[in-house]
Amino acid sequence: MRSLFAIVLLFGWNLTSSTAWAQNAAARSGEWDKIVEAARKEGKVVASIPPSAELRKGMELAFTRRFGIGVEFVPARGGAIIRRMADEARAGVQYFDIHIGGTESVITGLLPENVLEPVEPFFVLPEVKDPKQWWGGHIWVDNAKRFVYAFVAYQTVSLWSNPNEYKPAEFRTFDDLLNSKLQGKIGISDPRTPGSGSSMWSHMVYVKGEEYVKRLVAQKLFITRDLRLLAENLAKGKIAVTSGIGYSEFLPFIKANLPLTPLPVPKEGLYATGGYGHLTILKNQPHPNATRVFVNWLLGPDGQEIFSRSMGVGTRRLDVDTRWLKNFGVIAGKDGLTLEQYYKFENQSEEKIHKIREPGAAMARKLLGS
Amino acid sequence: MSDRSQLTGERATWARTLAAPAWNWRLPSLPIATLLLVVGFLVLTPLVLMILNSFQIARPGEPIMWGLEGWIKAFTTPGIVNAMTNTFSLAITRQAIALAIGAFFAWLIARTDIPMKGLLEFFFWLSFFLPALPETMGWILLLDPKYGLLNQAIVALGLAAQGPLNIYSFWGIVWAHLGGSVSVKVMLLTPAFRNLDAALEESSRISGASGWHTFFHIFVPVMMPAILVTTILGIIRSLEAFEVELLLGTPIGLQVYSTKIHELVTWEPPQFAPAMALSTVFLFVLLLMVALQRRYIGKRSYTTVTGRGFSIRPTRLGAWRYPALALVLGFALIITLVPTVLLVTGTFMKLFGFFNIASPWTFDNWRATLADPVLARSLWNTLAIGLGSGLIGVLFFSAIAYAIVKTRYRAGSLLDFLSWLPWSIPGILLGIALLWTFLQTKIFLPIYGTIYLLMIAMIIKSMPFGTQMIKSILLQLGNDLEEASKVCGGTWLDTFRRVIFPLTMPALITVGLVGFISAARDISTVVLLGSGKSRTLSLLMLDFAAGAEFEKATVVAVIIVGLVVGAALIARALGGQVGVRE
Repeated sequence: MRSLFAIVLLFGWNLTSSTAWAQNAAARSGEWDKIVEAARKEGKVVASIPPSAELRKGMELAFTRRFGIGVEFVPARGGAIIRRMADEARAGVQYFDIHIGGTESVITGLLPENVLEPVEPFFVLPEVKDPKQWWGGHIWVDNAKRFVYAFVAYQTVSLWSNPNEYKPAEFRTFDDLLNSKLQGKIGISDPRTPGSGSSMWSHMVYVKGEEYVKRLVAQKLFITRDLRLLAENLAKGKIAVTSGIGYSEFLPFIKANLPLTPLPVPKEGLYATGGYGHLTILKNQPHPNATRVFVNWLLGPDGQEIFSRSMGVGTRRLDVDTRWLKNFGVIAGKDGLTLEQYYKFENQSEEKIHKIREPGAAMARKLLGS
Repeated sequence: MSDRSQLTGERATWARTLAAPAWNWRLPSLPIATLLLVVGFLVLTPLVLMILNSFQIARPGEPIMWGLEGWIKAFTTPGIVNAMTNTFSLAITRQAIALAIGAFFAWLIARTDIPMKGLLEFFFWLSFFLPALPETMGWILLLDPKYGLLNQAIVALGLAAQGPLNIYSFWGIVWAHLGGSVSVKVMLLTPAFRNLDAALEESSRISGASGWHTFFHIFVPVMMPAILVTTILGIIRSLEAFEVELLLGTPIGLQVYSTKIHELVTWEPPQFAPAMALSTVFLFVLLLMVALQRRYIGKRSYTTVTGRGFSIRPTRLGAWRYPALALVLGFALIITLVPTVLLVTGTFMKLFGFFNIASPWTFDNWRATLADPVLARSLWNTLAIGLGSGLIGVLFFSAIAYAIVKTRYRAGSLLDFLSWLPWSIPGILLGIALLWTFLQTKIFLPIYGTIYLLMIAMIIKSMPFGTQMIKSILLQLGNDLEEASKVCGGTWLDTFRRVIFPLTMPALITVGLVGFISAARDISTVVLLGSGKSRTLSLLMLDFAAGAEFEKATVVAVIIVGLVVGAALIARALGGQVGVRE
């Protein structure tokens, strides 16, 4: 059903955006046409993408249809694929052109290996190059502001409850999670590894301090890396509250009308993130022209619409509608945050990873064992 | 002594050493030496890289740095002692129960007049190849203490106030593994029982020995090679199993060794040094078991198939015939049909395991999965990798096994030892070790990212099983068969083609089938080697599962099961079995 919904939307968007694309075509320089032609000769672009069948299908269909250039997607979670890219680079093997994913694995695994190419020189089309098309202009995650481009920015409610077990009205602050009635009833996504679990945990450490998380651990948490299991346990009422798990994991349960509801935003606030919406380009990419075409398509309105819809996250592109995300507990940065708030609460940049996430994960390992 | 004479003296010493009759060392022939080099390279490179990397402590981007930090971290990790205790308790419990049940069922199928033998054996084959993850989900559906269908039925019938069965427990984990553990024993021991000459049994009885005496003093010793291989296989599989333990052990805080390794590998950045250090325990256990196996088998003869003829007469069960059938069939159905039915049911559900939601049934999962353009490509890749690794594997393992059994070279013993080594690397780390091997060997770079690399990986992974099974069959063939061929003027090739190959063909088909099916199911070995164009069905299943689309993942799992059943049926139609042709 979810796929069908996405496909209908995709076709709808294609109809309208194709017209826009055609109108802009005249304005494009011959340079772009040459790049596309050269890309066709290269045949394909190879990209590692987040693990979502819907994203894979949507992007492959739309990109190949538009340009007649093949795409080879390798869907994977961060750590393992990042390690593979680093090992390949060391062995002089160039297989991947692009990596799209979360920041922690890139910052800790790829950036230090010096295997990334600056992204901005790959921006060709005016609608991609122009910072005015983007909420907050061009936002970079790495300190050098060259290698890791954030095209998504949003806040998500990553605290959910089963209202039969715990009423959302009972929750106002993170301190409410220390209520004795929640002992043994809180499930969290493992904060010792990167992901939404680590983001939420680090945020709690950042805003509430070590003493708070120690008391939270004393609540006998159910900790797992299996987000499906976490969602299922909440839906079945085995646990009352979950932390570090978002809308996309709950979607099948919500569609089945199971009792799941996001908790209100705590008074301490929530972190802001780019989720999987970060673009990096590998050095000496085997298909440089196809990479250029893909980057400009991905960061254009078509690519951002597909990414945003498939992943349920808020793009920073101003010409892509993201207001619908609010119904699902996701607030796109451009729809509900000021830039100051965003920079205050984001915890995915290189600086924040070293300052907040890594100490948070270290504390998690100390308290939960490693 | 001058340098020259010293050198000459050293050479003489070496020459004496090489020629020493006690050592019985002879330089291997060119084909054997080539085989030794190839096998040595394929199995030692990943192992050496794994051990080296357990001492590599630099973080990403830093120059290589060696140290013991990984080892210290590995063995001081909190809970590691508990994890080891749990691992060995689970492994020993599972193997003891599975060996007793499996050997008994194998004997019933192979040596008695129990009805429906073929069907019974086929059920065990099927059970062995069922994907572990969806199968475990099926058991949770039935045996969850609160929501399990069986527990709910027991409570509804008033037999207990609360569900008495709990899949989230030590015994729950044993149960979830039991189907696969018993099945592999039945798969491998049934043909070995079948290969026993009934004359041995009859001679024992004529001499006045009881049934038990015959079983323990005739059957068990003669079958020891097969029993030892299945036991080693079982223990190694028990040590490296982690999917079931992760699902059923985590909620109750029960950790095992492999879940600890999994934890380290999935850290950011991955903690390969301690993970590799921990996995050396596998190497130690494997070496110990192989040494014990070699010591036990020693120079005894296990020949049961000779040129003198071969008699197979089943033991009559009499009044026990149908009760025995009910027992074996009941067990086979529970471990095969129940998870399969639950798996197939899950593919038609909006939410796997949620029967109480409004309109729980849907065709959408099938519709969406079948419409996915990657499915056809993945199916093709799976078939190509499965057939390729199955066929090439059979040829390769036959050559290794033949060199081990039928040549007098010491190199044969070395080959035997080397062929076990891929099992010394846990599946979860074999993938990364093979990635390093392929990246650092220029000869593999032209096929990097293609299905051929995945074929090679699967052949390496299947080497211990394939080689040892073919070896155990070759051990049962008497030398007089080959000698008779030679006396009749047959060349080595004639003998192999017309004597050895026809006798071992059923076993070869089965080894090929196991290679095919392993390739169809494997995730951990190929996950890091697969590319967009070489992805298999199992990797597509992983994609769906990682993207929280569990129901679509079960559709792919059912397609894999369909492929496995189809391959097993074809193999059986061709006469496949792990034993000589009847």
